[in-house]
Amino acid sequence: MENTKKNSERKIVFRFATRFLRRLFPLLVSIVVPLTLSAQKTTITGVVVDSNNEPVIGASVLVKSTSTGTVTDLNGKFTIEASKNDVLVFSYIGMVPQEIKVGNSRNINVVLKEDIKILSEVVVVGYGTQKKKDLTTAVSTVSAEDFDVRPIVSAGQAIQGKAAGVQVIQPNGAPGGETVIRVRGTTSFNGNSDPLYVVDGVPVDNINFLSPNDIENINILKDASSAAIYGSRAANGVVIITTKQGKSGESKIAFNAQLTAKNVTHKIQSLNAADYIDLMEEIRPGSSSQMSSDDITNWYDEVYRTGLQQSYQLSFSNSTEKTSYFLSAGYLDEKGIFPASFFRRYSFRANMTNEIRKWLSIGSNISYSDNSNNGITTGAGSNRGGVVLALINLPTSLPVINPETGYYTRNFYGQNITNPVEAMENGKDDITRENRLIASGNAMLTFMKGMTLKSTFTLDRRHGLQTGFSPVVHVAGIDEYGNAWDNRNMNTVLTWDNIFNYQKSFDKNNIELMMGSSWTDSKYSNSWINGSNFRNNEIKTLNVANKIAWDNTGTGGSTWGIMSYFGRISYNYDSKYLFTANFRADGSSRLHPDHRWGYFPSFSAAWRLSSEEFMQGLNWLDDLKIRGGWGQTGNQSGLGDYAYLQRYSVTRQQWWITGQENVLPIITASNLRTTDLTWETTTQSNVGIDFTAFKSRLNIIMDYYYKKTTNMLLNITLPSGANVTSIQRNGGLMRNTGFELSVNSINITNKNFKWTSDLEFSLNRNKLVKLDLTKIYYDAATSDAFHGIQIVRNEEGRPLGGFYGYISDGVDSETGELIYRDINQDNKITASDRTYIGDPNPDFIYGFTNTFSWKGFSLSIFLQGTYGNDIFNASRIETEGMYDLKNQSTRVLDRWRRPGMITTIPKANFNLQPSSYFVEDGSYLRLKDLTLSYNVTAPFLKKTGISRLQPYITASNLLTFTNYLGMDPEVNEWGNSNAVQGIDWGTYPQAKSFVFGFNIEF
Amino acid sequence: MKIIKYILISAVVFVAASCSLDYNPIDTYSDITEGIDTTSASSQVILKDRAAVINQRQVLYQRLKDGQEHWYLDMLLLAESHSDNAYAGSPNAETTPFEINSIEGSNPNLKRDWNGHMDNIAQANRLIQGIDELKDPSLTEAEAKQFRAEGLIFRSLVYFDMVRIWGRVPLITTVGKDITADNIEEVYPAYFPQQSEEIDVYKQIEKDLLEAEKYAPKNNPTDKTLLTKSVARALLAKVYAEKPLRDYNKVIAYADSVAADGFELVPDFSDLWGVQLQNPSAPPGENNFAVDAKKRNTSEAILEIQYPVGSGNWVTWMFGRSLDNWNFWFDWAKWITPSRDLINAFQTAGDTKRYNESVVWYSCSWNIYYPSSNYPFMYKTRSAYNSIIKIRYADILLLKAEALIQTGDLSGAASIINDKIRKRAGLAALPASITNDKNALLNAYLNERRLELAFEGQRWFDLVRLDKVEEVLNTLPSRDSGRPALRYPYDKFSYKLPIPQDIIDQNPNLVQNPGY
Repeated sequence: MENTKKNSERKIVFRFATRFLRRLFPLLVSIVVPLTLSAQKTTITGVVVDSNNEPVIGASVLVKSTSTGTVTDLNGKFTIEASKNDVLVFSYIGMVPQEIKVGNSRNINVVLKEDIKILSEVVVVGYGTQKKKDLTTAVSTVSAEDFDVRPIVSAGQAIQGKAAGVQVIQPNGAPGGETVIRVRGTTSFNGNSDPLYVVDGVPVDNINFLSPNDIENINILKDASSAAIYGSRAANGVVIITTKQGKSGESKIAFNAQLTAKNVTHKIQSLNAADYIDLMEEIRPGSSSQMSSDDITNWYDEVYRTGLQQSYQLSFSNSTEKTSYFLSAGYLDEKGIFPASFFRRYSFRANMTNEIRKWLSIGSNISYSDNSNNGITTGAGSNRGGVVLALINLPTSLPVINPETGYYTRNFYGQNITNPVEAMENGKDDITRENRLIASGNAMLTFMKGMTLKSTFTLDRRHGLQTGFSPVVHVAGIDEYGNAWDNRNMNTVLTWDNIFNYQKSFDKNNIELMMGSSWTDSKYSNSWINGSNFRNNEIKTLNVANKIAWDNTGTGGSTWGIMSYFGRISYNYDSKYLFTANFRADGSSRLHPDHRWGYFPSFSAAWRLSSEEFMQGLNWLDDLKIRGGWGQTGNQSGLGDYAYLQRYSVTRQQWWITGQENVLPIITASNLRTTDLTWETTTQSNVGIDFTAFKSRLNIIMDYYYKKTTNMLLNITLPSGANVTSIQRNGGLMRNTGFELSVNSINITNKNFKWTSDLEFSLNRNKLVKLDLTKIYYDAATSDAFHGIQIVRNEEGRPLGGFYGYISDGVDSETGELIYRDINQDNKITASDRTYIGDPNPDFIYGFTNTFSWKGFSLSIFLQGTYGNDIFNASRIETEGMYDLKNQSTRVLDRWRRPGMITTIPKANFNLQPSSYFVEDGSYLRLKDLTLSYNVTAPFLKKTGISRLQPYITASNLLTFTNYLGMDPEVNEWGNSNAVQGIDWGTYPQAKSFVFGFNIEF
Repeated sequence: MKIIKYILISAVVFVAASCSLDYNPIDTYSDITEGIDTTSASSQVILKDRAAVINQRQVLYQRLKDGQEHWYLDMLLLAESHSDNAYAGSPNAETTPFEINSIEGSNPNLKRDWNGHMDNIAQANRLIQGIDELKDPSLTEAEAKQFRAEGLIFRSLVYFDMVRIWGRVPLITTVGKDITADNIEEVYPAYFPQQSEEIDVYKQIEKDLLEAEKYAPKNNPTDKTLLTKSVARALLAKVYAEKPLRDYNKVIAYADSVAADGFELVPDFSDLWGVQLQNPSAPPGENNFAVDAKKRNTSEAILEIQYPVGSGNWVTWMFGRSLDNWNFWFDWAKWITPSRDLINAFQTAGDTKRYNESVVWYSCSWNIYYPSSNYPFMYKTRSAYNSIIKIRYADILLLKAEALIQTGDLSGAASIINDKIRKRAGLAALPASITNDKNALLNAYLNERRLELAFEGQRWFDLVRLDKVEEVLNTLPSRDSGRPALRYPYDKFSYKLPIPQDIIDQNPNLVQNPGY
């Protein structure tokens, strides 16, 4: 009796608590409820095993339509209270869920079958979804599991090495994780070669605003037949990002936290003071008289620090029969390895859907982000503010602060070198901020089963603000009056999509019809104010500047619009013979009214051999499908907003000069009109094979593609002397062909241990086939020591981005000069002896992930690399060029010093030219991420309501195998350029990072 | 059928969601604001009305002002550092080749100069052809002729420099048509022209100047910034002194007609180069800065590009201290460092007046050619307010002396040199032993020109005109201890510089000059 009373008291307390919690914290209910079981239920026990008769640990056992549930223990056993009429749902990731009615059994043993998951997965394609197995096109998928324990800042980083055919380069290590993404090569010369990003159905220009934590999965439409539905914006592929939604039966509170420490991967050592003096005497005899041989400053220590990155995200999600939602708030703070540099992001997201009537469901996706960042000056020599090179070029015998003036040292033995400590201190006020609101609402009408009309209206508003201040300095010999700037812009893109969808199946025929229209309107406005002459550094806003720049202050604006109509028809017979056709018509305001519309068709088909009679005997084969497709896509990104018109630039005239009080600005034509300007068109053919075998333990996807960009947009600079020298014309042809292979395998799987591998391999061959009018384009001026001679040359018949210069044939042991090859044999080394000296395009790239799980532990090893690409290491011009009084790297200790000396490093003051001396093999293999995580499954967690607790540690960029001499082989100072790749020029170096984090879910 | 009905409903929605694609620029003048109908190819006009003509004329004058880099700084590098007057100053792969005679097609300065000059040609052509084709009665015939003449003078100024530097250059006198896929073959030669022979370029310059001389505005003593009749005449004098069109009688005639327009030497040489200091009685310095140029529109200036207070030139930074801002950018090596050979020439002549206006000494933080404690700088442009005197009367007057020497009137030449030029410089007359010997007088003349016009972009062209390049420059390193060794000796090919390689790459119809 006593016990019963206590029990019922306890029950009352629990019920009270339940009620309380139900109000306060409804999501906790599911944990507490199981403790309030009513008496008429019986205890059911059993074991869950897989098809190999191995116990399944941690499988979920749920009483259907309730929140009562448990998980299996280490032996696969479970115990649950249920009544006769209940249905138990058994599920486990990667297994097909099973439902079993309790009835009279007290003991239920279940065999869960492995889900041939890949085949039943649904893939988001343009304006709809498709079953992965019914795909007729080339689509890669990266899901959140692949990156949720890595220290990534931008979604682009998540794709690197994880999707065949997609090259992702992080061109520098600056905070913010800028990436360059090329889907199947570079398709444009002057236009943008970035893929189109579509986030929850909304095309956006970049994805910086997006917190990777909010991403559910990323689908990349690679071939024309899949991308063509996005028509004129899809020539570079489409990256479709779906953010998280509430999932049925998973009312969830999740919190992720991550702390990362970063350090520069590789240091380049400079000469000490004594060696510096030796070198200076060789470069400029007599110059060392005033130089000290004491090492007093370690510039590395003065400049680099350990960068700290913190990331937190809290989310709530739930889904009931009719409503689901996902709410999240995130904070990321990345402090770079250079003190002034940082990236900070606050992000908020609210995704909601509701079936308000049987025939109407509504939804919204609202995201808001606030980014701010500050960088350092890179891509410049130390004479022009380049911080990365400055700290190598500085003599160690001079102090950070000049004791005579009390101000930062600026003159280093007469050599103009940026003092990086000063530069970063002074750069602290240069901040770029961006707020972005993307609010999208949709309504879907269901006319009848399988027939819907969905209307989506989106407002994408971006507000950018860039301010800066360079301080007032008045010390001996220096008079600087301070400069400030304030640039603002606001961009509003409205999109209205209407999509009609009809799906019908009869017998074994499945038909899907989609038609739609899309309207996009963009309005941009901006302002810029520059001013100078401040009293002091106390107030830095422009209201206290005495001089507002009369010729560099103003406002502007621009607009553009696109109207599109499109449709798709898909048909398959029993998923055995599959066919899809797309068509899209796009009209752009950027083109002349006579040439405004572009039409982009595509077709694709697939044949599932494995469903044929003659393949039925092969039991090990799960799926075999051959795909083929052809399509056209367009690109208008390189076109200015009013590209077809002749436009004029304005030069303000000085109005304060006597007699010019009422002077008006003058205008000069800035481009030639191109009335017949039109879309760049990329025509792509694709064939592929999908192969799945051994109960989905081996999964291979192969694709070959041939891509041709015609009417390629050229920004032509006509020979000077023409009326106007700049014109945009469709006059080029570029070709990309390639092969990609993706292999997923489950190598070992048993009771406690699982080993999976994932290999992504891509190769692409790029060729610039034709260029109208101007045949040769130079690009990429680097060191001032080259005096404007550009090191990249693009011309017909070559892959993009070839390095151009002299061939160096080593050091002449008699003179110490670098020998340049006299190609035209005229006994002079002149500009006509230059030739191609390097190719930045890799032979192939790859990513290889191995994951080992043992009980709750998981170890993931992600290797990634490139092979066969060259890097032009322009930084070495500054660190080994020995042409002025800058300090140099310790490599120059091996320089030539006397006749007869055999060495690879020329003498001081050698004839410095752009040459193969600076071209290096950029191949590398990198241990990109090494992650160890543990899924804590201790019983006490369940009591506290924690359904997942996963601490992890990750090391990023831990090891890099390369022959490259620079700081890091993953580099391109020209970032997102098409024409210029693989140039290291005082670039913000990559960091090695160590991460501790955890994911927790309630 | 129901399906059809729903499809129709959807179609209505699609149409309802459509919009116009006519978006016009909101912050930029374009064909739309300039009244050009882009739907018909024949409507192309260069200048639509009188306002556009005035605007285009203003463009040319603006370009004169903005040409500080290619039309002044680089001209000094070519004419002074590439001769015996100066060192490169800030030695590097861009400037050193001028100093040691290793200039070749990849030189970036030559490229920017070529482009700067050709862009100027294009703007002049817009004005000239734009006026020819304009049908706007509000532009009077007199205005049309005057503006056109100014355009012709501007174009001649550019071509005169180009032809002297490169010899064979493309002769472009018209405005290219629109380029479309249909006419690309037809317009290609206009945009990718071949070079013309040197003599043809000179003939075009002569023709343009003779026509411009009739209609250009008269010399205005209070505004020397305009492209006047006198500018045309002065330029004609210079053109006829050059080998391809050489006619010394015409040089004399045009020099005289310039004099008749009212030009004369200013009595005080420093009026041309000086500044007004805050405190005129103290030397310039950190706390005694320049507030304006000493004089503008002097009687000696024929074409003067002016930078009044509030719109200063920037090019002064490249030479030395800016007297209006003593410390500004004085922490890196300057260009056009006066050579020992030139300084010696001043000293040998005992020429302190002109020397003091041409060379200044400061201490600085570099020691490239001289010890840093006492380092010379080119001084003829010394503050942001100083004008660039593009053509001055002393140059024309001396050319007349050259013509007189060459035509045998030695006494006439001597009287110019002695009574005008040397007298103003405070120097004694040349002895009769020189003035009676044609060769000696020619050499003395050349030296006089060197001292008078130092750092004004003349020296190289004087040596070229008088075929003195090898004689004077190959012996230079033995005369000048600070001069780096020549990479290659000067030879007959040195008289023309290489066509920039990038320009040839861009336009395959161009041919490199011999020797490069």
